[in-house]
Amino acid sequence: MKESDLMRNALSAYGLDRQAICRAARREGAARLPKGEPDMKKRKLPVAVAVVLAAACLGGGVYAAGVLMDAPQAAEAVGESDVAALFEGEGAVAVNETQSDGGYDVTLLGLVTGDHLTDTWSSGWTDGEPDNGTTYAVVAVRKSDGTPMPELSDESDPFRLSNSFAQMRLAIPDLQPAQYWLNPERRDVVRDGVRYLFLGCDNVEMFADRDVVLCVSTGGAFYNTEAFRFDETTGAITADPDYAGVNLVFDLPLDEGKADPEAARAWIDEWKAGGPEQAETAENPNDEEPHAATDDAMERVSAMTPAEIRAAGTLLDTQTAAPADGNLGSGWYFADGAYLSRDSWTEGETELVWQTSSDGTTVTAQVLVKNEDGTMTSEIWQLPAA
Amino acid sequence: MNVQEVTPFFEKLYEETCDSTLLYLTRRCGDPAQIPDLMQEVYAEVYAVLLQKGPEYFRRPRAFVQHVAKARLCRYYSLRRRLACLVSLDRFGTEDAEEGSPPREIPDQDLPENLAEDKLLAGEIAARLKTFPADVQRIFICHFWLDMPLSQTAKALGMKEATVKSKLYRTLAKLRELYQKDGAES
Repeated sequence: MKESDLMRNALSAYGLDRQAICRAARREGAARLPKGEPDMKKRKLPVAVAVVLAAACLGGGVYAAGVLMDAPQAAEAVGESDVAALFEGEGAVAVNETQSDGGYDVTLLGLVTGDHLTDTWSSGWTDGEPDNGTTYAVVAVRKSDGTPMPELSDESDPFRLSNSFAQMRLAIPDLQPAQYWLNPERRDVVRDGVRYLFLGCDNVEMFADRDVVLCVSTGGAFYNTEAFRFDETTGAITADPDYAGVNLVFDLPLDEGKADPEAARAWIDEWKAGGPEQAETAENPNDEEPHAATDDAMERVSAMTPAEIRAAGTLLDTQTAAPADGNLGSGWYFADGAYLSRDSWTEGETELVWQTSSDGTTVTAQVLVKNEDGTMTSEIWQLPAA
Repeated sequence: MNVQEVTPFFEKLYEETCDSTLLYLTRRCGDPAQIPDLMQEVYAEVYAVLLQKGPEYFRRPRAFVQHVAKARLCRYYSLRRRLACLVSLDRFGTEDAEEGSPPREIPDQDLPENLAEDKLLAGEIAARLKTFPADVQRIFICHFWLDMPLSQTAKALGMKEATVKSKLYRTLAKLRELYQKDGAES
């Protein structure tokens, strides 16, 4: 195999595999649909933004029936030691509630809310992280007859990621369970014949004075209206006894003292209106004019001199860095982590418009100024796009 | 809208646009390791809109994909993170020690077939690649994944071709050294 082919394989492993991205996009895209399409709500509901397979199970492990890891151990097992520490902290709740259905014993081990500690990212978060932290839960799944759960790679396991659903839902009359998106995440691991589901979603503590439940079902990766009944009057979510697969509902013991009715109401109202992303997408999903206008605006600003930008714009931020040698080489290391290599600067240049970007309504221009003392100043200017 | 109806349209659109979207994100994203997630986000949104509105809703599907990609990127970065993204771009290129020298040919025998076929090795290289500077990762994506010639890669990334060659060669040399496969002839 040529080295170029090896590098191509490496880049596929890097995460660029075309088919994998396409499949994941379809899965996630379908999961977003219920935000606005009533007839699809019956079939597809939000699933994890990034569902990642956790470490492979320990092959050959001896199944110790009835012996479960606790939530911190399970979090550790999926490689989330920070969350494991959170589960050992004061705010964690060891629930240890077991329900049985369809030949499986499902145990909600624990629940905790805190900072977002995993690498999961969602476009629904403004700065790459949720505004109010994350609520984590760990669920253990065992076979009722004592036989071990299969390995993660076993495509026949009803609890495989593509065939099972385990997410928090708000049991409130204001919103259908399909109507909102809590940016869920999930990782599974099998240890000693027990499958552990490591779950997370946007902090639900603001709803602590209302009912929040964890729905667990097999038969699909999406919330299933055949598995769960929703009472529009009371908001109650219950398992449908006629459902063929596993369908269970756990009440989450949240601390009512942490409820924030005002924030909860604002959140609910936003989702009643379709949700933040829906609103953004629905506004101009096919509007090409802003796109072209954005390019034109960026081009216009790029052609301006630093002096013209300063005269027309508003200064948003400025930083100055001294030249230094660091792990990226010799250059200017700005306080926020930005780096400009020394070689990137043309000798004799004193200032220039480095780059522009636009969100459609404004253009952000970055002006770099090399000072006489050798330091580099970065100025961020904002100008109207029109 | 039925999934079966829109999936062929989506897959065709994806095939037609995935390279250009990837190139756009590669050029604009400060942390290339985030690109796979961003790609997924972009096309998930496209697919969701497609399911809601149907193919006939798209007057110019490619333009819409570009629009979504831009929106995703803008949303992903706060101003500060965008600053980092912009500054880290090696716009003018660098003249490394080996400027002007042609890149060393990469002989096939550098990497024995038995190991090259090992998926674990590819995974290890991928993990290693993520530790390299962002501009190096961009070069790898453009050159090896998007099959762009070095001259085109340099142009796309705003770097001098000599810089691209130098960085590429040095990184490949490091990778060979790392895996003790450096049997290349000079």
